[in-house]
Amino acid sequence: MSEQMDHPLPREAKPPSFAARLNELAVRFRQLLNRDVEIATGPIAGRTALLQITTIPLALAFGAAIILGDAVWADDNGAAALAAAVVNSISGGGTTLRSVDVEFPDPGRLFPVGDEAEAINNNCLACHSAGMVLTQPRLSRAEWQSEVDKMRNTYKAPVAAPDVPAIVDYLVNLGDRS
Amino acid sequence: MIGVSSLTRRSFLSSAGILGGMLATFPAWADGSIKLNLPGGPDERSLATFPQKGPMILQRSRPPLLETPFEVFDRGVFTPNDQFFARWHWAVIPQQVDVTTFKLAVHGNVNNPVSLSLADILTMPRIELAAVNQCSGNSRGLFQPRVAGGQWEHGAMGNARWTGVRLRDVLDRAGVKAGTVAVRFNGLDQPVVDGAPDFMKSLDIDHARDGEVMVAFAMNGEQLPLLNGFPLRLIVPGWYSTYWVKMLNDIEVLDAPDTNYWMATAYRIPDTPHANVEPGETGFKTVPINRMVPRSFVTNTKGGDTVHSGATVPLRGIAFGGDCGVAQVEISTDQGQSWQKTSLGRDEGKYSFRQWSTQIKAAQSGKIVVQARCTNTKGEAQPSQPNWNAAGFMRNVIESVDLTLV
Repeated sequence: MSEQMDHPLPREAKPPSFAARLNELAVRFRQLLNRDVEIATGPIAGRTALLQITTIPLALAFGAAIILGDAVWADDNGAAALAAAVVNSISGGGTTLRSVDVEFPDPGRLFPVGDEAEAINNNCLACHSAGMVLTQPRLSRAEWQSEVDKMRNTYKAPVAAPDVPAIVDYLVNLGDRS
Repeated sequence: MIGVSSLTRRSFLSSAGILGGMLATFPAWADGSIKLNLPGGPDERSLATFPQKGPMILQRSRPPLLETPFEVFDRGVFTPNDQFFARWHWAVIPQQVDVTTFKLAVHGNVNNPVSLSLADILTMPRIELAAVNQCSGNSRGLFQPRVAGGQWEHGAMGNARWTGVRLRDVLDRAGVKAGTVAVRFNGLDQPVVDGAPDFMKSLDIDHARDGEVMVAFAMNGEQLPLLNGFPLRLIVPGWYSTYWVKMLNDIEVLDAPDTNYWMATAYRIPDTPHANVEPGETGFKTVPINRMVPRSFVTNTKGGDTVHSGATVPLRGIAFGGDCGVAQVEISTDQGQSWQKTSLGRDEGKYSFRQWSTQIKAAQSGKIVVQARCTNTKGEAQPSQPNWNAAGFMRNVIESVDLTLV
């Protein structure tokens, strides 16, 4: 989640439910108990590391809040949230469908490397991770410009106009960088 | 064969550590890397594991684009659910689905809008069929000149046995009114940004009611993995995957043609044979992408293998006819001057992958270029020249693999 924290979404398209928030906090707390926080295994780079380090006391505080708040929450939303976390199923005609609750992995990498990546890292990672962009073949400036225009005009990406030239420059030079 | 490197997550991390300030180029959860055979690169991809998924070729983590490792296609005609490719357009994808509250709405130009629970759907009459699900842009990475988009090799396809209910029966629960021209499908996924076009696809009403288009709740006998559309997915046999709407929760019956972005602007092909145009060409008519076309692959080698001169070399692979069955698969080792028939495996239905096998006698020296060609039951054969269009759609040229003689 650290990269997502680094690049907050322009809006909460679907605000997480109370149950989802509670579940996320519980997962963080369990990871801490198991000493399985990201910093122990993940690649660490610059501000990402800083965020990961700050995650630990935050998660500890949230974890404590869950325990302390349990008595209060259990009376209202908390009970419903915990009930929803129980695996349930629907059956008919010999088929059983079971509720699913998964967690997608952290999307991981930033665009490398340094200052010239700042505009693309600040503007583009809210909607998609870097991987598909970094694996494009060498494309012309006109092709990259039209991709960025499509993201802004059709897909409504909130990319600030002054940042567009730096993003296109970065993309045009991708091949040289790799 | 496929060059899966021995690079494990841990060894990568330790090497990254040695290199000091190097930025992370692979996410922490990647399980190694793989090289694709794409002209001009970049050809390296991570292998990644997502929930309910085995090792997949990572084209993009968010929203996920996960490609099936090619060796999976050699293991049989049905692609395992945990290695079936996944392609999502928008990053807001529910990670929790509660089967007790999920509803499929049918509304629009109907007599009686309904909201069906999964329990309702499980009580309806069932159908089952095997069908290939293939991305419109499967093999896009092999287009030359190269084009922008997901740089897939051949693994944006899979074949499964789908179980579900007829879309026609679902529509009849609501009662389609006179004057209906199309039916539009929407899933639970959403754009991150307000105002971006929600992903929706539509079919003409006659196609929607043909008795084969299905609302599926099972795939190879199991509930669908979330990334393949749990709990319900539209199955459009013989048509490209773009129509197979995942996490289907909304069906809208339309009394006018669908003008939404994903039908009117995106996923359109040149209205030309093989959707082929010259690079840079403009002014041609376009139509929504639709039925699939025949393809075949050698699966017991990806090329680059060495064989002994004079040896008998077993070859096998898979083929599909597109929107009809496989009539035959032939092999050529002389650049298409002559073709020899192969033996076809069990017929799992006209929309399924079908296995083929044969053997060739290796020449005395040099290289063998093996080509496989599928002809479908409508008499349509794979072309010898690749098609080209700017979106990288509908590749179905005869593919080749090289073997080196020693």
